[in-house]
Amino acid sequence: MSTAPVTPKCILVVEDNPDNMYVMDRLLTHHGYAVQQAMSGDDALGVLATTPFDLVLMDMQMPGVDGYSTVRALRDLPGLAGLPVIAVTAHSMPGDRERTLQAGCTDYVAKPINTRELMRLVEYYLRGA
Amino acid sequence: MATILIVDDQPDNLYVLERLLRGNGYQVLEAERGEVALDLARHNQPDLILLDVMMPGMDGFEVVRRLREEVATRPIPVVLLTANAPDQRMKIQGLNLGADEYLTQPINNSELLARIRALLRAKQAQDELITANTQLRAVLDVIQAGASTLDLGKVGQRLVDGAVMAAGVQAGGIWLTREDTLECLTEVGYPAEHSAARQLIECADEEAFCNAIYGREVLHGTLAKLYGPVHPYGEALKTAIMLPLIHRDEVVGLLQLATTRSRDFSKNDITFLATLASAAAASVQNARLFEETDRQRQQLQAIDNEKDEFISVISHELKNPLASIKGYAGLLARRARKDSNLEGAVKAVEVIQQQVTRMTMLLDQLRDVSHIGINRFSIEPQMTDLVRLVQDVVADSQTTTSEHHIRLDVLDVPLHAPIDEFRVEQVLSNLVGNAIKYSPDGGDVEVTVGQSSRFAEANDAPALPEDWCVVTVQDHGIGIPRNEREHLFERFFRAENAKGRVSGMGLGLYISREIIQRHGGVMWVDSEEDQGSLFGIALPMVAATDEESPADEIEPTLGEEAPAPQGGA
Repeated sequence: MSTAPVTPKCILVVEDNPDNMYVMDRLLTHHGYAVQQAMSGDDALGVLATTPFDLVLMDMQMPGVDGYSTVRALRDLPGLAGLPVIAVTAHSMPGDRERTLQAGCTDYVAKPINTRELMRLVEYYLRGA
Repeated sequence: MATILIVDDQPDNLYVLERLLRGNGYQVLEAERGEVALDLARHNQPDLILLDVMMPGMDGFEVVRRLREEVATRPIPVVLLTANAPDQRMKIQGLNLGADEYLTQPINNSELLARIRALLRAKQAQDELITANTQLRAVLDVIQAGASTLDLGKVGQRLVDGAVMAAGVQAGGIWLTREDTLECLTEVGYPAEHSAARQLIECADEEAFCNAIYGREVLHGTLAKLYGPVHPYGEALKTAIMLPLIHRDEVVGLLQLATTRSRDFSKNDITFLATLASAAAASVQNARLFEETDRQRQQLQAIDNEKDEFISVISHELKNPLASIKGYAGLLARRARKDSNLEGAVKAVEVIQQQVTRMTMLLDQLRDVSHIGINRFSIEPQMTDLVRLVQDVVADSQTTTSEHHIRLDVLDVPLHAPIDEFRVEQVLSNLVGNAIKYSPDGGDVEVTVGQSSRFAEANDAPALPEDWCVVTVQDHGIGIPRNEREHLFERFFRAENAKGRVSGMGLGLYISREIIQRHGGVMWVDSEEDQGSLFGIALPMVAATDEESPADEIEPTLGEEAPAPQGGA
């Protein structure tokens, strides 16, 4: 049902687990988006400094630099204050969810991922961007 | 948890906001059109409304305007959301219409949640103030109800109305304890069909009532839990609370409140309702005691009336044989006087006649007293010359004694006054008779008649209008002890120094004063023990019901030549 954009929108997926990354890449590519992978927070920040993206999907629980620190650092990079960042989090307590927003994420989805929910959010924030 | 109504014509916006709010623990209602939003706001009373400005048909501004018009939706905080570029004029317009926030998209979700929390905090503080205010008013109303009326029914009605309003419930009632039962004083909001079953409740039949009344417990919960599956409070009511009404450590009754909602009564609710119940208990008990006292007073009054009826009948019945005795005694007296052989009997028959006369008078007094008690004592005033009346009484009284000399001091001018001749004669006879009776060693009795101006300087005479008729009777007998004077006009009162020396029932002065007062007049006494007494009566010259002051009528005829005062023209 989704219509592929004429010029594909670029999405950066930040995820340390290869299986999850594989699923996410397949899903987004299937919906017609261009996907770039980053396996860690540092990795992501390096790519973001040089390449423009339309949206970021960020796993919050990563070893080393976690999602929270990565988002905070990301917001300080020039031109990225308004970039939609959707947090992917295993926590389901309201307080934890809001913590992702306070760190600088635009919205969040909980694991396990509901693909319909994720795609609806991605479309929503890409349209606004 | 708080309920938030989201209003947006875009399903995607609704979806994202709903997700965000539900994810943070809020309950969410959604509307895609303004009309639907107004309806939901009215009936579900959300704690906050998120409202999109740009909507087809009724836009966000119009929805805010209407929300603020209605009492039910006025206090709900509203956040206006817009996807337009920030526009200060629109923002000001929205806030002026009554919105609490105006946010421009893209909205930072973190900020949105923080603003929602801030508004809900303010709303809760406002709700608490309103609740506290309502509760205070209710307590005040309950206290006022107790203070403003002693009518038990009215007190109950106001208490229940106040409690139902303050507690925000749909039904309530007060039941009063009477021995081991509870009697319904007043109730509101319960189904009519089982009302008979609610009028009289045997405490022992219901465990809940036992616990509330004997255990003095506040009980609350579902009606089924409190009263079992079958109860007379109807299907519509779900939850109830029962509070014993305790006044001065006595359980006087029970306040029950019931609501159609499934509701838990909070600790605050219970504390407040207990305060209300304690104020209600005081009001109810006061009204109840008043009714009880009033009932007893009426009973006593009824018994007193029966007694007066009885005396009235008895005194009448006793007078018949007396009339017969009097007739035959008169016959005997005439015969005895003619027959010189019966000379000794003459004296005896005369004593019989005197005693019959005295007994007739006593019975008349008893009849008068009983008639005063049952309000059957009336006077019929006619213009009568008081001077002639006094002269007649003095002349009659003089014939009854040779030990006393009655001197009459009167200007030989008639004094016409509207009086009941028979009754005033009774008063005068009583006063002159007393003067003789209470001067057992004989002596002078001075009687004066005249207008009040003559007596203006007399000691102890009350201040009187100038042209009243005054009669005084002065003796030099045993007098009245000072400390007994105030009781002198009471029924059956007899002064200590008269008991045993002078016979009497203590009714004459009581009846006399009643007669004078019914003429609109006054009666007084001045006395010194062993020095004698002065009794005075004063009667108005015009009927007591006449509105005009007699002084006003007389003044112009005085014709006093007033010299022109200093300021004269």
